[in-house]
Formats: sequence, C-alpha cells, structure tokens
Amino acid sequence: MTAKSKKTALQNGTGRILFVSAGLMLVLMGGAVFFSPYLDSQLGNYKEVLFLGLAMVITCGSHWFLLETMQSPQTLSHTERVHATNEKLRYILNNITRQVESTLDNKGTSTGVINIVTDKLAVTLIECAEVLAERTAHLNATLQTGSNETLEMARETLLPLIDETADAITKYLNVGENVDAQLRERISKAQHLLLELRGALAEFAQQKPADSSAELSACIEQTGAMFDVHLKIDDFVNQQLEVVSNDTNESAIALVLHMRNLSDNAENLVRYINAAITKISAMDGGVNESVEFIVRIGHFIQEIPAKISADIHSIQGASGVIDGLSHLVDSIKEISFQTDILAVNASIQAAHAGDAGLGFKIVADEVRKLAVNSNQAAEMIETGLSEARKTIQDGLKFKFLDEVMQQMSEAARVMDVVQELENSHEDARQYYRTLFTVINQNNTKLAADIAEVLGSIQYQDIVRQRIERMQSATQRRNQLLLQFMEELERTNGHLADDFAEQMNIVLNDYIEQESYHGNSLNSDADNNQPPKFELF
Amino acid sequence: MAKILVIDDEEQLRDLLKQMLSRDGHDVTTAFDGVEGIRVFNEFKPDLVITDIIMPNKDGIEVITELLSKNPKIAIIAISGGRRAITAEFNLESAELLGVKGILSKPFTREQLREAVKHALGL
Amino acid sequence: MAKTILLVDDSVTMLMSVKNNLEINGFKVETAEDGLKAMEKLNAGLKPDLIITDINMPKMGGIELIKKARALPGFRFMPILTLTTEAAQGKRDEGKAAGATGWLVKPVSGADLLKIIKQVLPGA
Repeated sequence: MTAKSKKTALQNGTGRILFVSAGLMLVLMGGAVFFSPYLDSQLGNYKEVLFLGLAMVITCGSHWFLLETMQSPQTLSHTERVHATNEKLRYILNNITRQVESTLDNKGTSTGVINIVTDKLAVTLIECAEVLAERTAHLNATLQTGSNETLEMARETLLPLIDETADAITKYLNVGENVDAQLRERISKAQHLLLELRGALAEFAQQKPADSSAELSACIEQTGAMFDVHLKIDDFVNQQLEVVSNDTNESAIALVLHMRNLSDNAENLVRYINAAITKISAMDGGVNESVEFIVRIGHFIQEIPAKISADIHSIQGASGVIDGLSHLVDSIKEISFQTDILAVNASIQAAHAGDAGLGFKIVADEVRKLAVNSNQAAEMIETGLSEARKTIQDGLKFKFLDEVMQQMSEAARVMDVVQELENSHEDARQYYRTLFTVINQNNTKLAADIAEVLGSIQYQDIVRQRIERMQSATQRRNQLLLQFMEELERTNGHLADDFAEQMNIVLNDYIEQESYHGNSLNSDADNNQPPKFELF
Repeated sequence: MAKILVIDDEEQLRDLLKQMLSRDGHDVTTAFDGVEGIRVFNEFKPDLVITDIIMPNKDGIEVITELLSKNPKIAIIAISGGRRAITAEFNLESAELLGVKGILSKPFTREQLREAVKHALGL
Repeated sequence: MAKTILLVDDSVTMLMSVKNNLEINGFKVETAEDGLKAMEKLNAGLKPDLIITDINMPKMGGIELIKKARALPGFRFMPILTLTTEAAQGKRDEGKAAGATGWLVKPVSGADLLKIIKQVLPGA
C-alpha cells in the first residue's frame, strides 16, 4: 500500500470512522472512569490504574483495528469497507465486554449492586455500540447513495443516540444510590466527567463530522444540482427537438401543399389551354369562311369596271356604225335632192320639146317620184337609226343599272360579312384577353408557389442550425460531466470548482442562443419578438 | 344577411337578381358595367360580388382579376350566358381559374342562385 | 438589364433556395459560401447591385463582410441586406453599425424577399 493510497484512504470518507472510533474511545474512557470507583472500592487504587490501563489498551487496540480498516485495500468498495469496519467494531465491543466481564469475574466477590450496574452498563454499552455501528453503516450508505437531506437526518440521529447513551448510564447509576458517600462523590465526579464527555461528544458530533459531511454534502449537493441542470438541458434539448420536428414537419407539409398547388394549377392550365386551342380553331374556321367570301366579292367587284367598259366600248362601236349610217342617209337625201332637181329640169325640157318630149316627161316625173320616195326612205332610215341609237343608249342605261343593282346587293352582303368579321374580331379579342388574363394570373400563382417552395427549403438551414446549437450544448455538458468525474476521482469529493454553476452556464448559454434565433414557423404569433424584416 | 353587389350590363337581369336576393334578405346594390362595379365595390364594400363576364368598358374577367389581386379572399360569383363564339362555359371556366367562389350559367334558377350564394358566403 | 445580386451563405440549401427564387424572378445571382470567398469575388472586380449575406459563417462572418465591403471604393451606397436566423436586437444594432441596409430573419418567403429587394433596388 502506497503512501498516496493511505492518504486517500484517510481522506476517503474516513472522517466518519475517525469520528466513531474517537467516540468509542471516549465512551470507553468514560466507562473506565465510571467504573474506577467501584473497582477502587473493591480492588483499591492499584486496580483502578489497572482498569484504566486495560481500557487504554482496548481503546488503542480498537484504534489499531480502525486504522487497519482505513487502510483496507482500495479495491474494496465503500460499502464493503463500511461493513468490514462495523464487523471489527462489533468485535472490539464484544472484546471490551468480555474484558470487563472477566475483570469483574476475576474480582469474583463483587456486590450484587455492582454486578447489576456493571452488567447493565456493559449491555448498554454493547447496545449503544451496536446502534452506533448500525447508524454508522446507515450513514455510510447514505453518504454513498442518499441526498443531502437524508445525510443531515442521519447526522442528527447521532446526537439523540449519544443522549440516550448518557441517559442510560445515568439511569443505571441511580441504581447504585445506596452506595456510600465516598462512592457517591466518585459517582458524581464520574457523572460530571460523563457530562463533559457528552458535551465533548456533542461538540464533536456537531463540528468534526460536520466538516467532513459538509464536504461530502457539498459534493453530493453539487452532483445533484449538476444532474438537475443536466436534466434541464435535456428538457430544453427535447423542447428544441420538438420544435425542429414540428418545423420540418410543417415545412414538409407546406412543401407538399405547394407542390400539389403547382401540379393542380399546371394541370388546370394545360386543360384550359387545350380547350382554348380547340375553340380558337373553330373560331378561325368562321373567320376563314368570311374572309374567303370577301375575297370572292373583291374579285367580282374588281372585274366590274372592266366588264362595264367592254360593254360601253361595244355600244360605242354600234353608235359609230349608226352615225356612219346617218351620213349615208344624208348622202341618200342629197342624191334624192339632186335627182329631184334633175327631174324638174328634165320635165321643163320635155315640155319645151312638146309632144316629142312627152315620153321623156313621163320618165322625168317617175324619176321625180323616185327622188321623193328616196327622200322619204332616207327619212324613215334616219328615224329608224335614231330610234336604234336611242334603243342602244337606253339598253346601255338599263344594263348598267342592272350591274349596279347586282353590285349593290353583293355590297350589302359584304357589309353583313364585314359585320360578322367585326364580331369575330371582337369575340377573338375578348377571347384572347380572357385567355391571356387567366394564363397570366395562373402563371403568377405558379411563380408564387414556386417562390414559397423555395422559401420553405430555408427551414433545412434553420433546423440544421438549431441542431448544431443543440449538439454544441450537449457536447459542452458532456465535457463538463467528464471533467466533474475526473475531478471527483482526483480530489475524492473535495471539489474546488462549482460544477453545477458551470452546468447552469451551459444551459443558460444555450437558452440565450436559442432566444437569438427565435424563428419557428409559428413564432409570428409572438409579438415580443423583433420584426422579421427591418430596413435601417 | 349579406351585402351583395350585382354587376351586369343587362338591366332586366340586374333588376331580377336584385329582387330575388333582396327577397332572401340580402342588402343588394347594382352596377351596369365593370368600371361602375369597381367604383361601387370600393364604396359599398360588399361581402359578395356577382358579376357578368361580357360587359362593355370593363368586362367581368377584368373585374375579377382586379378584385382578387386586392383581396384574394373576396367572394365572387361569375355569371355568363356567352356571346356568339364565346361560350358561357369558356367564360365561367376562365373565371373559375381566376379563383371565383362560384359560377352560374345563364339562365339559372332561383334555387341555383340561392345555393351558389350560400356556398360562396361559406354558409 | 438584369440586376446582379451577390448571395453569401454557408448553407448550400439556403444558397440553392434563394438563388433559384431570385433567378426565376429575373436577377443574375453570384454566390459565396463565406465572407472570405465573397470578399475574393468583390476584390476580383465583381460589382453587384445588391449583397444579401448570412451573419454566422465560418472564416468570415456577415458583420465583418459588411464592414470590409463598405470600405471598398464604390460600395458606400450599395444596398446590403442580411438574411440570418439571428433575431436579437443586439446583433441587429451591430449589423446596422457595420453598414447593413436591412435585417431579414430566416425564413423569408419568396414573395416577401422580392418585395424587400424591390424596396432597396428601385426599378428591379
């Protein structure tokens, strides 16, 4: 066994063993002092010295045992050591009892009173020792497992126990009331000593053990406090995990909903556009028909002037022929006039010739008739020609009117078609505007949904940071726990640092960190938070 | 019950709708085209707008787009009978894609109107 | 012409999410994973119309980046927005003192982000 381990053994919870052994020693000393008057009366001063010596030997022996106990190998657990100590204590006490008994037996002739007193005293001492041992074991157990309160309780039960011991002794002292005055004096002296002993014990119980248990209780207190904070950190971590879980959950749901919206919108739009394409081609058909008609009419109208000018041309040709014929009529008229003059002259010449000219006169008259007839014929031709011209001109007029009429009716249809076209155009305009508006609005919605989807993805980053803060806090906590364990081992519970306080710092840092990043999905409800957007 | 704005360029239908809805206990105001409709909307602040689609000046599609862009939650019922090549179906489908709460193809029954109004108001 | 935005964040998800949103809406986006990389880009001659930066980043955080960027010639009046999980007033004050134009706390919805960008980048 090394010096270090001895020192460790001494420090390691042996304060209570020292306390018990010192207590026992004092009780034995007291017992020795108390016994001495009886022995003195029987055996004289010599015996008293002997008894005291014996008591000292026993006390020293018990101390030796106790020290041996303290030096028990490190491999033994706390409980085992405590158990061993108790066993040895019991052994010592039995030993003491036997020694006292044998001392008294050796005396052989002691009076009944003394016998009773010593017997009872021995039993009381043994009982007290046993209770003491039991309480010590309990105390040890408490030190190992119990809380600060139970430790305090255990310490407090020691004091009444000592009182009990003292009371028991006093009570049994009263039994020997009939012992002579000298004896009484010694007894009262012993009582006085006992009282002093009790006082010393009480003081010892209050102070000495308080020192060692204060260390222990401080250690236990810190451990307890550390575990409290440990649990608090876990609680907070769990809260954050719940937030993280909710955030990711809600974010995932939001993503799914947005995606669903996107898909629905896209589907609706595709359906709508497909229907629109069908309608547009139907509408185009109507427009095409109208356009074809107008093109046809256009061609027709284009041809009209050419047709008219051709007609006019041919009629003008006819008029020319008629005019030519008119000149011919003039020629006929001229010829008939000349012929008439010729006939008149011939008739005059025939009259001059008398009967010889009679036949010639008949010819001349006939020629003159012919000239008149010719003139009449020419006039008839002229009338006929002018009538023909009039007829042609009239015919031209009528034909033109017909053309115009036809043109007018076609134009009237064109107007209808143009109206139809205008309607179609109006419809198409309305149609395309509606189409454009709907598609535009849906695109805006699609874009908004896409933007929201992209926004929702930010939660991955927020959650990642939250988990990182969580990891950092638990890491710091675990380091502190390791450090604490090492420190506990190294100092045997004489902790210099306030680990619980350090643990609290970890927790508070973590909580503070989280408060800087308050941004869960539902944090909008919290009005105490600074605004999410702020332009300086 | 509810404040309802009816926008339709057809006077007869406008009056009929007003009569029917008033009889059901609603507070009804009417407008004869989209421009007037928006103006009345801003003054009257109705709970529900019933609008025709094909109208002069500002058509129903424009009215719906404008109202919904200001407040996507406003309840609108689109009514349409179509015109020439533009079918009621197309108009109403367009309105539905823009986000109206209900559609009614002209002509409709009093009961259909009542149902549509109830649904649009979320009753 | 499309406005250029420099986006600085150590989270790849964050970069992906915001970059795509901005690109869909017609912006040109440059990215950097920390303040140091952002400064490298700026020193190499990148002149964005707007910088959006995270605060907590390895190597060089957002506050330091804002200070360094503001010191560059021609960066005095450039809008710089933060986009961070930091919500505490203390950090905000620090950001404001460093020269940040505005403070945005994650998550910012796509629509909200565009609204704010339009505020600090008129005509965007």
